[in-house]
Amino acid sequence: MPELILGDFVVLDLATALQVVLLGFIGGVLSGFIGSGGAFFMTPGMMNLGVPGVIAVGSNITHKFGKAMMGSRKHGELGNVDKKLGIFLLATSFIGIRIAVWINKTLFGMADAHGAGKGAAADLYISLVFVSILSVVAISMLRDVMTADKGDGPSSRISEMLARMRLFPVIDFPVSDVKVSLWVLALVGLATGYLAGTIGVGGFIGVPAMIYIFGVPTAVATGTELFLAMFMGAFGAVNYVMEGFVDLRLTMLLYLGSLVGIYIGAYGTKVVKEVVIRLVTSLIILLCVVSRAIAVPVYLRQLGFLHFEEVWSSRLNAASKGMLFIAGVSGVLVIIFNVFKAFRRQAAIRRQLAETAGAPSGGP
Amino acid sequence: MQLVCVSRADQEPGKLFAEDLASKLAFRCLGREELAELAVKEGIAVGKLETAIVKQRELTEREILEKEHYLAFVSRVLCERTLEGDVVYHGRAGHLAVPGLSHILRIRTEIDHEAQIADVMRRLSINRAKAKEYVDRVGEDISRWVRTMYNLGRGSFDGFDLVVNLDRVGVESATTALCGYAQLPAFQATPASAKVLENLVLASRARIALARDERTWAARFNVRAEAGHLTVSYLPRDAAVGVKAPDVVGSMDGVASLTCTMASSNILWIQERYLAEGPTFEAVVKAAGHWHASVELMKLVPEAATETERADASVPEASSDAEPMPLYTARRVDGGIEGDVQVTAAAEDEAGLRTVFHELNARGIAGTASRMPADMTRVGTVIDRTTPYSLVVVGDVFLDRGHATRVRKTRELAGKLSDLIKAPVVNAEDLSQLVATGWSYWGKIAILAAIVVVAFVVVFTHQRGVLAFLSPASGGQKALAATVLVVFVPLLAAVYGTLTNMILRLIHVE
Repeated sequence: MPELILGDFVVLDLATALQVVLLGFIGGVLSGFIGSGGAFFMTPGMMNLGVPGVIAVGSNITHKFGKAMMGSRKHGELGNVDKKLGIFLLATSFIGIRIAVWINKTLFGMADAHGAGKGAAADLYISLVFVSILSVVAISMLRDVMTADKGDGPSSRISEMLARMRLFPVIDFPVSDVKVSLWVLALVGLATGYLAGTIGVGGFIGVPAMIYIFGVPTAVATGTELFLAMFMGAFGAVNYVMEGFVDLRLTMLLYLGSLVGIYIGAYGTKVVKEVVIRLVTSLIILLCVVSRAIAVPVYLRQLGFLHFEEVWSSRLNAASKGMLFIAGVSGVLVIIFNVFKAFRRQAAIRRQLAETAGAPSGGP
Repeated sequence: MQLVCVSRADQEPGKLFAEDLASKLAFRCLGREELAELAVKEGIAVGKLETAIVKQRELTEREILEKEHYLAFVSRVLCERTLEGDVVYHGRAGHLAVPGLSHILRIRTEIDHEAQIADVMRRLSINRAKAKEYVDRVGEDISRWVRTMYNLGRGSFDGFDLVVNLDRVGVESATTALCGYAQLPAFQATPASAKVLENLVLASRARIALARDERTWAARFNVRAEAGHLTVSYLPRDAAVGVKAPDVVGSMDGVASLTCTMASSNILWIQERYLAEGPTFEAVVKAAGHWHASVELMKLVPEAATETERADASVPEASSDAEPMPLYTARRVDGGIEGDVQVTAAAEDEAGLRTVFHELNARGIAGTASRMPADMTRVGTVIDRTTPYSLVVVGDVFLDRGHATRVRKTRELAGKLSDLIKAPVVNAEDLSQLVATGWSYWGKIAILAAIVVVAFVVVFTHQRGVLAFLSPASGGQKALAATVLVVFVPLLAAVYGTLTNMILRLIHVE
C-alpha cells in the first residue's frame, strides 16, 4: 500500500490528482448519461489509485451531496421531484446508511479510530458487495437490451406483482401518480441506504427500483433520487467525517471533473437513442464489476486466505486498474463520439431545413 | 358542428344518458367502444396500450408510438364526424382529444359509489369487500389511462361544464334539462371553431400517415396544422427518420405548405403583437438555440375581438322558407363572418405574426402559430398539454389595458399557464436576463472562477492541516468538522457548478 498521510489519506502528486479529476469527469459523463451518481466508477477508481476503501466511499458520498443538491434544484423547477416519496425513502435510507457505517466501523476495527483493520478486510467487503449487486444490475440491463427489438420493455413481473400488492398501509404519491405499500417502500429505502453507505452507490439501485418496482415515471424517479441523494449524501458525509473518513481534497478534485462531465452526459441523452444508452450503461457496469472482481484475490492474499507470489498482486492490481479505466474511458469515448456525430448530423439537418424553409409559400 | 362530450368512466347509465341526449338533440352518437373498434381495425393495439397503462409502469418506446397513433386517430375521427354534423361523444375524456376547440359542451356523469358497488356485486356475484375493491381499481385504472394518454397530473382534467348525478336526477330528466343548456351561445360552433376542427383533422391525418409509413413509423413526431400549413417536429435522436417526413406528408391533400423542425422541446411564446426584431425576439431565438427547441407562437386575441365572434355566432340564419325544426336542434353556422370583424390594426398584427414565423422558419426553429383568446377561462381548452414545453414566454399582452390592469392580468395569465404546463413561465425581461451574455455575464464568470481558485489554493496549500481538522478525536471537534464540511461542500458545488454551466452555455451545451 502506498504511503498515507495521517495513516489514512493518500499522498496526492500531480499525476494522481489529474487521475482523480479524470475519474470525476468520467463519472460525471456517465452520471449525466445514465442517470446514476457515477459512484460505481469513482469509488473503485479511487481504490485503484491507492485510496483506502472507506476513504473512497466517504469522499465520494460527500461529493455526491453537493452534486445532488445542484441537480435536485433543477429537477424541482421542472416539477420532477416527489418530495413525499423522497421523505418516505429517506427515513429508511438513513437507517440503511447507519447500518453500513456501523459495519464499516465496528467490523473492521475502528475501536482505535484509524489504521487497524481499515485495509484489506474493508476493501474486500466493499468489493464483494460491489461485485454481487452490480453484476445483477448489469446482467438485467443487458438482457433488457437484447429483448429491446421485440418492442417489450424490461421484465415487469416483479413490478406488477409488487404494484398490485396492496399490503396495508398503502401510501398515495400524487406527484409520481403511484400507490405503494409502506413495507415495500421501507425495504427499498433500507437497501438503497445500505448500498449508498457501503459502496457509495445509490442512484443505480434507487432509480431502477422507483421505476420498475414502484412504477414512477423516469423523470420523476431521477429528480426524486437526486432529492434523496442530497440528504443521503449529507447524512453520509456527516457520519463519515465524524469517523474521519472524508478526504476533502478528493471531493474537490472529483468536482472539477464531474460537474463538467455531467452536462456532456446529459446532453448525450438528447441525441442518442435509448437502447444505445442502456447498452453502453450495462457494458460499462459489467467491466467495472470485472475490474473489482480481479482485485478480490489481492485482498484475500493480504488477509491470508490465498497464497501466491507478491508479483501477482501488482499484476492483478494493474489489471484491475487497467480494466476500470478501459471501461470508463471507452464508455466516455463512445458517448462523446455519438454526441459529436449527432451534433454534426443535427447541424447538417438544420442547414438543410433552413434552406428548404426559404420557400415563400410557407407559413400560417 | 356542435360537439357534446360526455365523460362517463365506462358506466352504463352514462352511456344511456349520452344516447338519449343525442336522440333528443338529433345529434349523431359516437361511443368510445365504437372508436376503439375502429382503431383496432386501423391496426392500433388498443388492448395492449390499456394493459400497459393499467400495469402502472412506464410505457416502452413502441407503446409511446402506439399511443401517439391512437390519439391522432381519435382526434381525426371525432373532428371529421363533428365537421359532418353535430355529435354527442361518450367515453372517458374525449374533449381532451380536440384541444383548441372552445365550444365543446363537457359533461361528466356520476353514479353513486354505493350503487356501483351493488351493481358489481349483482353482476359478478362477489361480496361487498371485493366489489368495492373492484370498483375502486377500475376507477383508478380509467383515471390513469386519461392521465397517461394526455400527460396530465392528477385532478387536472376536472374542467367540465356540468356534472350530472344520474342517481339523483335520472337519465330522462337529465337529458330533458340539458337540451336547453346545449343551445346556449357558448356551446355553438363559430367560423373560428370550424377552422380549428379542420386544422386538427389535417394534423391528425398527417400524424397517422407518419405512423403508417414504414419509413417514419419508428419516430415520435409532434404535428400541428394551421390553415393548411403543416408543422412537423421531431427529436434530435430521431433525426435519421425525421428527415423523411416531408416525403410522407408533403404532398397530402390539404397541405399547402410544410415546416419540418428538429427540436428537443418547444418554447411557447405568447404575445399580442409580434415583431421580427427587438430584444424579445432575439432572446427567444437565443433561448431556442441554447436548448435546441422549436418556437411555437401563440397570438393572444384581445377580449373585444372574441366577444364579437360569439355575438356573430348567436345570430340565427334567415330561414323563412325552412321546414319546422325539431324541438332541440343546434343552429347551423355560416362561414366567412370572421373576416368581417378584422380591422386594419388586426391585419397588421397578423402580418407581424407571419413575418416572425418566417424568420423562425429561416432559422430552422419554427414550431406552429396559433391564436389564443384573452379570456382566462378558455386558456385551458386551447393549450395542447401533450406538447412538451421547456419554457413559456409571456411577452407584451393586454396592450389595450391600463398599466396596473395589464400587470395584474399578465400575472394571472402566467399563473394559469404555470398550472397547465409543467415548464417555467417567464416574461420578456426575465428571458433576456436568462440568455444574456454581455459584460455582466463575463464579470460573473470571473468572480465565480476567482472563488473556486481561492478555495483550491487554500485547501491544497494546507493539506495536512485540513485533513487533520477533518479527522478530529474529540466529540466537539467532530461536530465542528461536520458542520464546516456540510456548509463548504455544497457551496463549492454551487459556485463551481454555476461557473461550469455559464461557460458551457457559451458553446451551446446546456
